[in-house]
Amino acid sequence: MLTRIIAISGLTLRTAIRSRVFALLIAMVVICIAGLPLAIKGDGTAAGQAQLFMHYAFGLAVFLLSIAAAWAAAGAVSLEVSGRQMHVLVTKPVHAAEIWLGKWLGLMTINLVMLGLAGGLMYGLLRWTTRSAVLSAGDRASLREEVLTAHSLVTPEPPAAKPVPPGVGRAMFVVPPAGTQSWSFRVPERVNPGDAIFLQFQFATSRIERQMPVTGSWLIGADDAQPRFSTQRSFTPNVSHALKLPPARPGQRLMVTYKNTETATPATVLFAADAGARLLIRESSFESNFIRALLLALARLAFFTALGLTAGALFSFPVAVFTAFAFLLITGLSGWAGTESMMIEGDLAPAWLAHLLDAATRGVIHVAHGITPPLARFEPLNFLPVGAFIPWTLVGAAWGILALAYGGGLAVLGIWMFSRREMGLAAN
Amino acid sequence: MKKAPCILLILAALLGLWGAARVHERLWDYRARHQLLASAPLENAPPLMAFTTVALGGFRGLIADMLWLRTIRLQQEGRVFEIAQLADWITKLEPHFTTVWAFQAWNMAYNISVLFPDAENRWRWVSNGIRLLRDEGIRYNPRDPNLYKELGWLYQHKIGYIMDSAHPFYKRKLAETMQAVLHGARLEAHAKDTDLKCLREELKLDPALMRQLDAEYGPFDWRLPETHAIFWAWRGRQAAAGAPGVAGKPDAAGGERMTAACSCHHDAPASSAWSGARACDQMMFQGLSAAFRQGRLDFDPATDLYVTTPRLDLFPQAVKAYEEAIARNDIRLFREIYANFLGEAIIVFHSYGRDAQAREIYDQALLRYPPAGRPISYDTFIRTNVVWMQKNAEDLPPPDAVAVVEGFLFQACRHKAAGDLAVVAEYERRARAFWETYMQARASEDHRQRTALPELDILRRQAERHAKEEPTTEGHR
Repeated sequence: MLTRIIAISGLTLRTAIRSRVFALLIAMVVICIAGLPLAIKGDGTAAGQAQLFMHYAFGLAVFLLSIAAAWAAAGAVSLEVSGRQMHVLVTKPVHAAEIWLGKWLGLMTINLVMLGLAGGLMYGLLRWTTRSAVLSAGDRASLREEVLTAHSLVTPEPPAAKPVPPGVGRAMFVVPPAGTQSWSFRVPERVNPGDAIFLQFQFATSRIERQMPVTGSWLIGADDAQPRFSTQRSFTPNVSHALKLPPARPGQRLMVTYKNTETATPATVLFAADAGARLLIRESSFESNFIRALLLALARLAFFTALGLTAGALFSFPVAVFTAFAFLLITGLSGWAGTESMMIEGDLAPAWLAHLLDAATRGVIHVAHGITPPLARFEPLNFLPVGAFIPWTLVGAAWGILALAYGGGLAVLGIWMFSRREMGLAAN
Repeated sequence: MKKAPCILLILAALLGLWGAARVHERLWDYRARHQLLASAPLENAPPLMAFTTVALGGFRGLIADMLWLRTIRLQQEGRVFEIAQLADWITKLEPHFTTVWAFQAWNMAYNISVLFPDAENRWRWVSNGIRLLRDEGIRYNPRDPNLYKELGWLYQHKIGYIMDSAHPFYKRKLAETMQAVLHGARLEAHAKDTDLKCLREELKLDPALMRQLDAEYGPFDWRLPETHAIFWAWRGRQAAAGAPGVAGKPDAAGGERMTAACSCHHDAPASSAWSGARACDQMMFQGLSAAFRQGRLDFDPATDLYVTTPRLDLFPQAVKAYEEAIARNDIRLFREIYANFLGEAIIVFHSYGRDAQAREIYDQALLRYPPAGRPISYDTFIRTNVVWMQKNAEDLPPPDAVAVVEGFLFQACRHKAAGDLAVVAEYERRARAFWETYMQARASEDHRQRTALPELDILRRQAERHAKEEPTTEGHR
């Protein structure tokens, strides 16, 4: 059985390599990624430029490869049926599952090669645009510490005092004017001595103005009772801030204290109990994080390939492509609709019509969320450009859900329908 | 049997057409009101952008909306690295929509900049906002006075005013940039080609226009933000001269709405260009008032010295700008601002011991804007205002306080040269008393950071230098 699957995947691979589409796809990916640094406009910092390049290059590569994967997979079965090659294959002792899996494996090999090529190109360009001849030593150091890394968050030890007010919405630590709030952190043993550690914090205020800055001071002490770091500055509420701390020993306890020193326009400061203040530590290298991001993208391609193959097993090529693309579009848009479009405030009259439309929209989005796979959860762009660590468990979950659960479901449907499909009919 | 559905479909189509015709009129009005009629060809645009604006048609707005929503979300989350790129795309999708350019630039300079606690990062976003308008917005809309006004506003208010706690940093950065190109306060007659090229291509300052502005209203110190505000407002006035509906006056109802002929509809508003021109007029005289109050800059990056003091010689040019603006827009607001300016000028001239000139301005002001009741004497006016300034020291703008303190010290220097030591001590005492009152009124760190005066010794050195440079004749203007 395995021999037959490998033989079919080899044939699929050979057909793809011979086709112009494959060459065109390579050219498109190379041109798009290589030309991107010339076209994008960053915020003026080396870190911003690198983040923007990663965001757009990765996003563009995955978008192009997703379309190509769905297109190629839709054609892999349906074009062979319409070209009568499949008739030769099905008359042999080959099960529909072997055909489907062989095709999927062949197409996934192409996806792997293409993604590897795109990833290599991206990584090379990233290194080239941030080389020492271009950036200062300071810029390179901050880039290495803040962006080209893989950080994970360390939550504080449970506080002695419970956050208030409990039970209503999100639990918060309340810091009145001139008040203080302390957290205790234990530096994990896995931290390398000398690695930069950041304090990441975010707060809200009692003011109506959402982003009016508040002056506050941070004092970081260690268990050796020596004050290690202190700063007093104004910080903008509702935005994530990161303060670079001096290196700490693995296992060391850090005492972090915030004092509300705003005097010009006093305000109460509120820290979320779960995410108000956390330590940001280096978890792994950027390179290994980049590989995990590529694996997340490959899991997505595995799903789109399965989608295209199943659509191709059911329909003719144009219909299969249309179906696959429609699903791809809904999957992409349902994520967007769930976040950005919900910010739209209509001024539609009468009110009942507005409510009805609103309820209908939410219903459609809810259904779309239910049907489509949770791509947003496994979105590499949520991690890679901001230097956030991608755990292997997330990569495993992405493969389990996107490739095995959704892809497997589609495979079962595709194989079943393909095995029931009659070849050689007059209509074919 | 097949006829019935056909008839129903035709009827439905006709109904749809009738509905579309009804809605079309309102939609057209809406587009005209919000200036969404991109009838004019895009000027100075690269081929790809010109093609995109035509090829995408009505979908441009939809895509711009999606990008705008993304911008809002990212900004709320504090993930701003992508916002300059999104702003670039949004403005390119709606290149003739002035409000879009103005909003994106304002958003970067005002909203995003303050997300950062450090001045360096803030300045980057203020620069991004300036660059968006100066390098691109004006390039694609060279005849829209509103864009010049918006650009001038970033210089006048964001950099020039004291609202942002990082304003001293912005001012120094601008001064450093200009000094690196001009090698001084203004453009020399025989400037190097590389410097001229840098002015033209990087800072978008045409040397010929700079010289023309200096000749008409200056000469200015080009390291100051007020000068840039004046320059762009002046360019806006020039641009407005060719815009439709600007040369006229407000309509009979006294409002700002002006109309211009449109090929399809005759009620498309052209008030925007007219109000833009008026705002440029306002910025011109405000900028010149500021130059009069703080147009002399002593700047030394090595010692971090940045002190601005009044330029009394710019008074006639400021008056000229007011007179021209009022001649073009004779509205109460402008007349009131002018009267206030004359009042401030009297105090400044008095502080520098130029009472004859101050009295002359006072008499002119009384003649032009007679008070409702019995007019007060010149001496009472001076006394009342100085007392009022000391009482309201907390809200007193720094340039006004600097003018008074440096003015007193300037007089002390003059009397010192004459050997009149008792008078010297009196002016020294008054300068110190005013300086202390002003500084004591700044209780919080933030208030001090934004509005503190230079040390008294620094102001004294400035005053000594100015006293040596300026002739002693009382009537010098």
